Amino acid sequence: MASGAGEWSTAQMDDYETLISTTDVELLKRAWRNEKAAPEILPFEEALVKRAKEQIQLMEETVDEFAESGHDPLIASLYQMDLDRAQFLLRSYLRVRLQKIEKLMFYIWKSDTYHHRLSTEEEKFAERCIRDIGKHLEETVLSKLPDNYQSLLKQSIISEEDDMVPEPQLDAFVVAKCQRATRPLFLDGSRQSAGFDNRDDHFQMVPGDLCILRYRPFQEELMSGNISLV
Amino acid sequence: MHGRKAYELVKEFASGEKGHLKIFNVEEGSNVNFWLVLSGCITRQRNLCKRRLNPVLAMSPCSVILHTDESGKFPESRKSSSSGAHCIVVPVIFYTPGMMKCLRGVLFLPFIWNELFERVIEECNEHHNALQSLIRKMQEEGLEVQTARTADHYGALIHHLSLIRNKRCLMAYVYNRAEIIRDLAWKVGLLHELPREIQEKFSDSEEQYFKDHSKSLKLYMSQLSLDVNVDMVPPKDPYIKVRVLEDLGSGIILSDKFANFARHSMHFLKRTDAEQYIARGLMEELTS
Repeated sequence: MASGAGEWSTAQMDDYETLISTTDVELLKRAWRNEKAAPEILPFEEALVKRAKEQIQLMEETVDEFAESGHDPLIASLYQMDLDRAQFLLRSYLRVRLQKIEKLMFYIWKSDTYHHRLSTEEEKFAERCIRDIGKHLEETVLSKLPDNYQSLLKQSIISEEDDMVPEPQLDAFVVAKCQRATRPLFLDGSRQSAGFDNRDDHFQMVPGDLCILRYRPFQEELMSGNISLV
Repeated sequence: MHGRKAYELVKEFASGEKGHLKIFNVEEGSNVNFWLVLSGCITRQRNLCKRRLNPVLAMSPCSVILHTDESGKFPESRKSSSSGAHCIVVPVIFYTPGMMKCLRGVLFLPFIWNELFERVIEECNEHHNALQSLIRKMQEEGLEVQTARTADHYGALIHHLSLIRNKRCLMAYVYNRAEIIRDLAWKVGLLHELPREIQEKFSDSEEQYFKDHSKSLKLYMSQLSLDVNVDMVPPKDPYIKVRVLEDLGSGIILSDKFANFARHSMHFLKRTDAEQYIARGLMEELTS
């Protein structure tokens, strides 16, 4: 993200600073919400998760200290509550991802883009998932079918591509909130081009705007952090 | 007819799961009455789910109704004895989608379709044999299998399509059950053994799958040294009020504190401590 910082305009610089100033909790919350709402799996926020884990550990120590030293129990309980919430957020984030992996494992596994979005642990998990379900289906159904029909991913040997793989519904509608002003967008996702003056169906989102959009055309905006899902 | 079938189904649920559904009298043959009673049951059941965080009961009960729509008519597959190369055989299988619809029921159903399963597999093999013989016949006649547009070609095509349809149905059935199993692995499997009533409903391979999947989840968590299967609901208060539903005795230690968890006693516990007992249906949360 920082690599392009030199070319950024001042307005964008300001935005970048406000982004930096937002706390990890806020960032984690946004990552969690995006992950929950997006139909596909998003890139793993490795650094963020690491920081969150460290902070949670720190908090745990503080709470323990409070409990031991017999400080005001009310404050200890407030800390505890905060800690619980942070933990929930982190766990839920990881959980949502795992559940997505479970659901779309074959699809994720065979596409490089998705594959790179997983953390190392998640990758191992996905691998095991595929192995287990493969074994299960093999035992129950596939081994009993005629030879040409035993593939797990294809309906039969003559299918040219894998046609038995559940895919994410990228055309699903999502509710998006604008974080930073976007360039003019088209509802069908086409890029700004020479002929774009002739078209009047484009729109621009300003921070705070709430729109219901189809997911697929706005993937990039989401990845760049211009919009977030709610 | 529909009502009858559904009635049997519900009866099976009732006897299978501690009689949670045993609260109605169904006059057989009267459909209207049946629907009323059934929907009453479902509402009751749903409330029950909300009240107790019991994961087994918490599955959405919506499609008991769906199931009865189709299962009322489970026809035998219409296999006209296939003879004559020009006769296109169309064995229609109505029952495989029926299998799907019972999956999302209130409760996990046993792998009762064994016989049916065998029959579908058998049918697949028949299709395959017919397909092979048609292809052989075409080859003997010296026709190009891919390009010739004869009656035999279309016959073979139909056999092929029926076969992959059967395959899809079977796979979907098993896959959807696997999804429910994964769900169970998340909710109960990681901490404890599954209740017997559920385990009985697994097929052998499914039992293995459940174990394997729980293991994968556990491995992930140990690598991360973080339990992801607790904190299923967003926390509101660090402490909650619970009532003990089954006698747990005083052997349990929660965060270094002892308490006698006799049946029906009420306690004010840390949410994180109580959660696992709630998930197993041993305690219930009291909401004021």
